[in-house]
Amino acid sequence: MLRILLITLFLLTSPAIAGTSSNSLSSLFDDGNDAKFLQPDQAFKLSVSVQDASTLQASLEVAPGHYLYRDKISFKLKEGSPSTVAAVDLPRGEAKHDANFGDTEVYHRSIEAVIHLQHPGTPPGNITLLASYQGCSEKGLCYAPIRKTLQLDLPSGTTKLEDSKGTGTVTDDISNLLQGGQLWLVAVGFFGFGLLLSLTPCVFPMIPILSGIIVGQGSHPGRLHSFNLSLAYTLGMAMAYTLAGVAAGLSGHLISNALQNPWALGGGALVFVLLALSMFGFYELQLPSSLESGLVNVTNRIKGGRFAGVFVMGALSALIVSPCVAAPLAGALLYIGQTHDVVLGGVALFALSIGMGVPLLVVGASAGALLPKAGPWMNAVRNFFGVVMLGMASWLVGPVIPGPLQMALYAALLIVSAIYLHALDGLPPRSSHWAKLWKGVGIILLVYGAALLAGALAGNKNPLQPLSGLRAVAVNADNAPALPFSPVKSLDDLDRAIAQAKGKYVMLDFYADWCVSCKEYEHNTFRDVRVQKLLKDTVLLQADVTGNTVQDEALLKRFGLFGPPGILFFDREGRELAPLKVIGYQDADRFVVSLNNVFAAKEGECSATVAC
Amino acid sequence: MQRNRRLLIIIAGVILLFSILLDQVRQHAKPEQVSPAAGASASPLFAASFPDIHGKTQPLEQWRNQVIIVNFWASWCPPCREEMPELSALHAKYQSRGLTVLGISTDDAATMQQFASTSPVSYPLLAGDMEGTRLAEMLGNNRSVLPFTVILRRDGSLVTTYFGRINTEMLEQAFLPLL
Repeated sequence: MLRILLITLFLLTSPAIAGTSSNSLSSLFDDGNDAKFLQPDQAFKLSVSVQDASTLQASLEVAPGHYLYRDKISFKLKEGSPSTVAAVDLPRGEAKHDANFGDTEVYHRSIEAVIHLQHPGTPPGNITLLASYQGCSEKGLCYAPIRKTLQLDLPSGTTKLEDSKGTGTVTDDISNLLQGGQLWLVAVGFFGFGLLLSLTPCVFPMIPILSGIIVGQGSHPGRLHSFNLSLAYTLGMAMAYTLAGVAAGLSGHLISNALQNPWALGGGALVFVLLALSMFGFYELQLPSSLESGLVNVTNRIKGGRFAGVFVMGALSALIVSPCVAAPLAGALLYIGQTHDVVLGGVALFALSIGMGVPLLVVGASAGALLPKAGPWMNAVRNFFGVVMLGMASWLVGPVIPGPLQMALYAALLIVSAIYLHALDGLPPRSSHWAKLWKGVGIILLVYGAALLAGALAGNKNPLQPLSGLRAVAVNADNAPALPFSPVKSLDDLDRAIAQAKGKYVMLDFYADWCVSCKEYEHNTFRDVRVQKLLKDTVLLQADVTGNTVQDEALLKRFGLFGPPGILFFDREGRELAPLKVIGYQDADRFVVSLNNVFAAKEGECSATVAC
Repeated sequence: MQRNRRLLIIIAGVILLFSILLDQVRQHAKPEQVSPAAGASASPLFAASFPDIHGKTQPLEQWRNQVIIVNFWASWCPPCREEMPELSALHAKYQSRGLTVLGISTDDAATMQQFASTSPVSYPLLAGDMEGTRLAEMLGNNRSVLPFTVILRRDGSLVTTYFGRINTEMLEQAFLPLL
């Protein structure tokens, strides 16, 4: 019971966390300052370096939670100088809708600007640059225009000092953090981020696996022992992520792509089923005796041989839940892939997974104490986790089996569990309160299970609304038909489609059959009426990368994506709106906000409830 | 069992605290309220004069002997614009009891006039331009922040200053005792 409570608590707190996940990193840091706001020079830092006699590179660092106005950034030379600033190249900003000024562009992230100087004669030895910029904090205040005067020495020749480094648009908070990165700051940040992830249901499937391992030890383990076991498990998980990240960076491929194929998913599900059956006491998890005696010999000789097994188990489960942590992984992998900074990327991913493992360590540390010693109570707990694991197995194979079949699996699970809870047996008179409670729970499961079964037989797919198909047709349903995507097969296809769409916005959706989040997009987000309305005049393209062909890879690579889900936008002129790309799953509410950011130029499309 | 329960309660407490903390953190931070800086003085305020929305120069001397909320703002500053309706309501409500809200913009006169024509308020708006920025500094805005709000007693002395977005409730708490 205690453990059920604990898990419920995890689930309850997770919605509070989930909303922050996109910007939790930035808030993690800037909220260290409490309500105190930054000095203007802490909020925005300007540094200018000389590239050659007629080129300067300015970098403006924007503290998290702050933004600069693009059109208020100006660079001039002090009056009286014969030289002038010919042009300033500023990167595109994010569109921000302003009630009074229409659309403005802002920078929430640090930027690099290139300043081109013009000299009438030979370049002077030094110049005085006047810089001015202004911006605001998201915390409800702005900074008056900041003016800086900089003295710069120009080289006498016109030789280029060095190639300016490529200013690839970095689209992710996480990539950004990595780029700004001092190693320890990155480690701490990712640890915290992992901690947040651990409070989402992502880690949930790992808790029963781990407790299965600890319970599976048979005789009640000591607290230290079970902590060590969970530590080995967590380290195994961490190692898997770290290796995946490093390997992905080195090869430029996404390993989790490979792990999401039907075989891997089916294998994962099978592991869950086997674990579940052992939970139900059909057998004890044991290796064949010949193999075991051999193994025992080996593990006896190697100290901590048992931990090696748990370590491997942790690594395997990391792969299983990897779709859940796709977004942060994508950010980190993107960076590693682009920079080949394997050490920093590895450290980041390691810290992330250790953070994720904290609740597992807590479970492990407490297991000796929290787990009931023996008796019927213990069996109830084991049965509960058995059911949870079977549920996980059905969920895992969801992307590769038909929707109704998955619902039927859920139905079977619920109905059988209900029977075990004595839902259909008569209560003897004067039975205990507990018996009544469990019977009540059993009946709820039974009814829901029956509804799922009915829905499955009617060909329905959504387990949360099993009977929706049985409702009268054409209610003014929230669920409109699927979006009319046109398929895109190759880069040529894409370029042609974008060229044809001239004058219209284009949305490109990367999809794959094995991608869980893509299914969620299809079933939930894309069927939302608001989303459909916003996308009415948009050319919708979809790249199905299920096959992972060379052309698919080329498409993914062009946009720095490692795999679906990824949604990209192009403006009316066919330019990619890189900062606005959506990686990972967004529900309809969040996706509407993303769309509004894309269409910020479209007047009147922003509703009052939505930030534009 | 006793120990288990205690452990559970501690864990539950930590998680709860953490989520509450996160929730708090996501809220907008309250503006920072500070006592007037040493050396900050209102006398430059009454010495100044700025053009109003009709372009007519208004000496600030005319608002002496009132409780004044001086609000420094700019048309490009979103939080400044957000709080203007609240200031407008306060001015309308308490004007008869001797409260005046003054909105000193750091915009130039033309920009401010254009803004005022689209978003009218009940209280006087003045175009301070660069001079307005300097005045805010003299009143204690040592961090060039907008919005910056100052409350003055009837005798012209400073009560409190606020960095960032203010709201009706906090202002009322500060000026109601002075009326």
